[in-house]
Amino acid sequence: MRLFLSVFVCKLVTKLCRLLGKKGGVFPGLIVHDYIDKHVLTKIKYPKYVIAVTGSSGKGSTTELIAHILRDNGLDVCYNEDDSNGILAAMTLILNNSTLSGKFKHDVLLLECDERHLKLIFEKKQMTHLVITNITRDQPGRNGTYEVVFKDIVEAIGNDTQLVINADDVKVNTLRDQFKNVVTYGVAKMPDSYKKPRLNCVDFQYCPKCHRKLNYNYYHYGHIGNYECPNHDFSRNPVDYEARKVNLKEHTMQINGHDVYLNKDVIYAVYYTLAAYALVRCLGFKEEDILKSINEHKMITRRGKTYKLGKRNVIMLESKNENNLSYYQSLKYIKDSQEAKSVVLGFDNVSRRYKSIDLSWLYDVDFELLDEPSIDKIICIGRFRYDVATRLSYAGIDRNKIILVDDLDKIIDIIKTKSKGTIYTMVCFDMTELLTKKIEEENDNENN
Amino acid sequence: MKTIRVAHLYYDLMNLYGDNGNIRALVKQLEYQGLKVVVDFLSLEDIIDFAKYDICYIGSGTAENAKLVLDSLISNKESLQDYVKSNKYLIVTGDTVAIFGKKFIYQDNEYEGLDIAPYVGRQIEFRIIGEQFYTSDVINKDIIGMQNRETVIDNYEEGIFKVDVGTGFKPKMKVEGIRVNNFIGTYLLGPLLVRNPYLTEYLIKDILNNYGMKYKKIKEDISYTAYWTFLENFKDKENY
Repeated sequence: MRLFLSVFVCKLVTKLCRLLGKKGGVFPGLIVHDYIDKHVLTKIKYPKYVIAVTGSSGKGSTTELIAHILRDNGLDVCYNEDDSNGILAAMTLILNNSTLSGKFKHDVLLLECDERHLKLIFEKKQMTHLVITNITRDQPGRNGTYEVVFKDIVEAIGNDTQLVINADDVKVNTLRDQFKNVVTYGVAKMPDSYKKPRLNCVDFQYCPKCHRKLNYNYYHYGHIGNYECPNHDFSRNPVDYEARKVNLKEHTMQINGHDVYLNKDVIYAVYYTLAAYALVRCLGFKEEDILKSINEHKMITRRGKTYKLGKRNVIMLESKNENNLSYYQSLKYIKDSQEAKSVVLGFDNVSRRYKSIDLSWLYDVDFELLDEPSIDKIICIGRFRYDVATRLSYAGIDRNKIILVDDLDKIIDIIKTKSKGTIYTMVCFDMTELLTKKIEEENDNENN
Repeated sequence: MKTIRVAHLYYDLMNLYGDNGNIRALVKQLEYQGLKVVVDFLSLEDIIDFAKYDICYIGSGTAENAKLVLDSLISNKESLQDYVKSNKYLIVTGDTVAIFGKKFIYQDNEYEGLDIAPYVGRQIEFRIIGEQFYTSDVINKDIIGMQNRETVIDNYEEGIFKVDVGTGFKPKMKVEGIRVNNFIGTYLLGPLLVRNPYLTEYLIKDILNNYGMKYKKIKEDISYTAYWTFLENFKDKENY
């Protein structure tokens, strides 16, 4: 009866939300969770494939590509397309896609899951497959440390769950010995791989078994790379699926000898494509069918949104505050672009999920990558602009290159008159909306 | 030119969030004073000769990693104690302070501590996470920072910081920070010496005194504006 009521109320509240012009992604789940049955997800009759994707970063893109491949191969896939990945959003999605008797209506349930909520969503370890992308320092105010995150993920894994894990991540790779159904993936040495970390903020540098310092053959970024214990107690090698001959500029790589298309020219695209490939292979799909979906029926995407400001391009890059490796990928992308450019950096809020004013993570971000002759100006905005500028000064960036914007109403004027080149913005969620609005207003004014 | 030797100890193990900022701040300040600064990065597999160094720093980390550091240092305990007795600087941030007492209680087992101060460091079953605002008689300015920890300190009440907002040595205590000679330990983690330029000034002046040198303030150091803006925006504010 509670199951029936939960599904009914969820669907009803969702309809009411939509009538009121709201998305209704979380609220219906909240009503069911708080007032009807917080354990209702344990009572659903799930389909043959229940796939979750979790990790500190890359889970949204991985999920999207898995959905693309599976749909392209004729499966009816239900997944959280709007990026909401907590328990309440999962509850809304699952109940809305179930019959009143609690039978899930699609062939596949595919969920991008918040790494702390995974065990809440799958209380009875109902996942058939779990992809783990990485565990990195992220959201310290909420997570405390990576150990807390890792423990929560492990609690959600059942004995029969098929794991698909990134073996280039030391912590994630420890699952290889803990569970029986494990498929591993990793990326071979690339032109940009490096031998020694640039900053002293790399996690998991010691063997989890004997505590000897791991020997890294190369790093891709952060602690992600190819390593082995000098006592041979632990190693990244071998892996079941390996990406080789990666050429980001050409959008190409090989997985186990097959040419594979990359829909973005950044390293995390290598990882999400590889993870999606490995997962779908685990489901029993043929290599040629997967390759056709990736290489021929391409999933269109692009890195960041692009706008015009006069004749100049504005490229808005995504970067997650409190996650140094997310920042790294955007900073590297800016550094590697050959053209003359300026960068807009800043945020008003450290986190969108919880209240935080901690700025420690700024010193784990490799802002030294912006110490680059092709960068004309770095424009700092938001409430923490002086802290960001302080960090840039420690990165060795010339003070004359840094512009601090106190009045955001003047941001467009400052960008136009005081900076040169393509404009890259690396602002967090709160400033993206504001900047987009200001650019659109400016373009409207110019057109009128 | 006088050379100062700095050891960033366990740099690849005790670096929870942004602790590398403290070494950056020390180097920047000391070099500005006209000193040559040499930094050695040492960890579990290195032999640490304390006698070689003027300043040692250990950052924050998990209690598990703090225990590894304790295991590594315990055989060198006497030379560490001699180092502190000789008034050389040992700066320790985050959970790492818990191993510098008489005992360290980890996973319900009691271990011999490094015995720099007469307290007991103890692992707890929950994490203490939050922004902190301290004041101190040492400097007449607020001290800002973050805690993210899983240990407490028992049997010690002589904190050098008064906690205005946040947690002291343990919940409900309103003092924090240990100083024994020039051993300075605090639960604040991250780039403490970047974010608190006045505290860093105090420390650098103290170090310079040993060499009969006078402190020169860095011109146009934006970290002061960052500090004051942060206080203005967030101290005593309910909704930020």
